[in-house]
Amino acid sequence: MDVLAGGILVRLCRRKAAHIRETAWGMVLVATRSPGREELQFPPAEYVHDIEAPQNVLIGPVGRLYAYTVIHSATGDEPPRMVAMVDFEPGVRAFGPLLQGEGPPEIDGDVRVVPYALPDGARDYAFRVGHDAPK
Amino acid sequence: MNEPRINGVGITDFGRFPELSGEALAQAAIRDALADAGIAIGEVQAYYCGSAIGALLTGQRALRELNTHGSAVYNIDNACASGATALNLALQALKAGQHDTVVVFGVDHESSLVAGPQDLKQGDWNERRGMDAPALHAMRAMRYMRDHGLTAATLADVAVKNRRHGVLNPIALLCQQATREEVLAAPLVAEPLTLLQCCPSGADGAAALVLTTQPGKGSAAPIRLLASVVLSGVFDTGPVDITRAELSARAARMAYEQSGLGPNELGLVELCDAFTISELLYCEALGLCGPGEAGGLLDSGATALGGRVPVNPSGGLLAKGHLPGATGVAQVVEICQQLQGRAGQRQVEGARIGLAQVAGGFLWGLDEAACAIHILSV
Repeated sequence: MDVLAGGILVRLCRRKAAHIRETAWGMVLVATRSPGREELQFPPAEYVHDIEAPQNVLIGPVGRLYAYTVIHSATGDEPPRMVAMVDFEPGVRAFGPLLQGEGPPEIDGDVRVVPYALPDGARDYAFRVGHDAPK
Repeated sequence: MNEPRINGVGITDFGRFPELSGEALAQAAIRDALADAGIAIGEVQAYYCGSAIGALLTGQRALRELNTHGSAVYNIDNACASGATALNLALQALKAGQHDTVVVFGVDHESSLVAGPQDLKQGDWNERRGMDAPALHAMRAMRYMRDHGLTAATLADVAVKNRRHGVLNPIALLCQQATREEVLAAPLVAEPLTLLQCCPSGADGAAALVLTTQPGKGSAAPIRLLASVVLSGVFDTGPVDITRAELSARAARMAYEQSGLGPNELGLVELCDAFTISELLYCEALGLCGPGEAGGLLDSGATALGGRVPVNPSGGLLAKGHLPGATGVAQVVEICQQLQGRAGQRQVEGARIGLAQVAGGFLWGLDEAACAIHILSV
């Protein structure tokens, strides 16, 4: 859509590209790099201002486990679940659920991006311990 | 123009009062502060209200029955730093000559909300994927333990210390003393944090301050504000060090510069110990010790009552609960009472300078959203 900003007509639109992508080497995340900036952003930019769209940059499928925790439900009705911060080259961090894999999670160890679903059923990502693709 | 000073403080009990409203608690704290300052409500020209989890117009709802004659009311939401941000704004107005006497108050009533961690923000990217406040701080603790060799026992000792302080504080109704073993054996919330390493949820309370450029009429010594800083987090989705508390460190540097003081000159500190790990990270951010040294500082006894620089002599958030609107104001109330020598059994002997730090509010891209630091002296 076109909107007035400071009396100037500019284009404002919502990016349609997904934040995850299946590739031959597994699921990867899609970060963005805004025009004129070096650093990557994940989650990717949601809105594009004016005509210069951010560049999509694939990150993963393997990253380094920066930190994680195991969350326990207060009532004990639900099983414990893990969440993690994962660092990807070339310098971007993503947060998401962490799944058991080849062994227990180890800080600074490898994790892989894998398909997962959000609680509302939407297609999303998680991290699985280890660097090998799930069998 | 005279220098603005705090001439009166008021605070309610911090506990669970489902039969009371936040407005009623705020009124009690304001009346307490006005009486302490020795002034009538008609002398107040503006009110600055910190509240983060209530409904709209918290200030007006609290004040309408106090007959404030339509004085200006400012409602401030800045997450965990809401009350402290209200103080910062009030101070600016006094320095600008806009008013000469104002009331700052903070209030929240959590017992009327769903128990457990408060939502960060509906629809926040990380929150949709399982992030909450305990999880974020637990990850900070996991990384800190990995990087600096902190033990679970030392982490638990933060809760032991602050609960030991809290039982000396008559307003900390939710506080119970606990041993290291009890802290470690409590139910896990987010590993390595147990329930007794998280501030109690569902608390209610209010606190208030009278600031004025007029001569003091109260019985206690007026308190000077040597520094008042509010800053926000830097947007960064790169691999930042989450054990650094960058925002608080940046705010502390600015506060020390404003005051002309350094960390070695502090007599006491009230900081935002929403979780045990928070106290350790903020001790480092405030320069009380070097990176990775906060566990040793705690072990040395320096941050306990009777130590070199007592941290959270009130018991902190671990003892009182964390009300984002009220916490920052309550910290300043505690420091005023300490500097005035009226802190009872938890009195820090000879304290002349105190620092209050509060930070929080987590959104993706911001390690922490808001931080406020005040340095006070007699």
